[in-house]
Amino acid sequence: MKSKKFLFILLLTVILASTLFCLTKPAQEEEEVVIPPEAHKNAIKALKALGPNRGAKEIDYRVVKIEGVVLGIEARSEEIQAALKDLGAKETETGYQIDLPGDILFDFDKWDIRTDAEETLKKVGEIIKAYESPKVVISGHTDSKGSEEYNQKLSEKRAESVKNWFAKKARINPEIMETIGYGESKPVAPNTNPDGSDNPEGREKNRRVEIFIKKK
Amino acid sequence: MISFLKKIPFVLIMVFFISAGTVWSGEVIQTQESDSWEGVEVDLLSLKIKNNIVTVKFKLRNTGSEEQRPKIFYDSCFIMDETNQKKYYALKDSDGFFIAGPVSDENRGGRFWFGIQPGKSKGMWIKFPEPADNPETITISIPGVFPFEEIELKK
Repeated sequence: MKSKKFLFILLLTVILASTLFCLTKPAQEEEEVVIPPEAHKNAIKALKALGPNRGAKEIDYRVVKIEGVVLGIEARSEEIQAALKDLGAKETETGYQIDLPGDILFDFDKWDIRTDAEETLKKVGEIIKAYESPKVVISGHTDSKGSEEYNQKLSEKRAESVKNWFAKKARINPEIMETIGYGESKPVAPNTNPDGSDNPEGREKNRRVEIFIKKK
Repeated sequence: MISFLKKIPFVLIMVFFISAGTVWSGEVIQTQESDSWEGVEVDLLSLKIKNNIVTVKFKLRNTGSEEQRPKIFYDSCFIMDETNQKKYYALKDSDGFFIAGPVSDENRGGRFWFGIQPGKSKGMWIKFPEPADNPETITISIPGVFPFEEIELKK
């Protein structure tokens, strides 16, 4: 009697577990592919318009292969052009220059890459890979606040940090990357106003990382 | 011995439910990897023929660790009847848009360009003309994905 009861409970458990598994698994992992109801009517019309050969085209394997390669290049090129535009890259005869604001990449006085800066660096990484760049120069710059020595070290650490991110996250060969720390020596805007007062906007512009991507 | 025989129906029921669970969890016809988007795999979920129209459903899964943004132009998707050396592109409606979805924008008649987070998936469907020469199998070509070959055409 006891064994019958045990068997009954076991059977019930198996049934329940199987039912639950079936009901929950698709909902967790699959997204329903919904086809609008008018799609099939439109398809019937489209098919009629194609005539008896239904739009058949002769297969030319050579053309199919070339088409595939060209389409891949076109799609890739479109993405890279968009990334260059987003980053405000400047094209020179020898490569691309991308200036990234230090405040976007790092927290104050830090050299760890901020999580929300990763999307920007990812785009730069894609450009480096797309152009198969033989050399990438990453230079760190700071504003003039603090001692010269401190700023020099901070700029070096920041440039190195960007290089490490590219190597680790974007899988770019570290051997093609060179880092330079310029500290506060190469400002792009005045750190102070003519009257000697602080110029926060100017200092913000000076806190930056410049990335030069050499063309192949 | 009698006790062993008594267990047989129980074992059979268990086998039934376990196998049923596997089937109901989502069977796919064929899976192909992408050669353009790291970690993206594409499942061919179904292929149906009605009114000489082939409707295919796919699921794009991101098995990688980073978000991927597959870009698929529907004007570059086609099915091939290799026996008769013919290919058929996706059907277009009277406004010139491909009868396929989902559509992120109307570039080149419509394209799929969505972000897929790691571990997530996105469905896709396309309608093609049924090959006129009634081949037994077809190849489905989706740009950026290895071809789905020897797919049976069953009505």
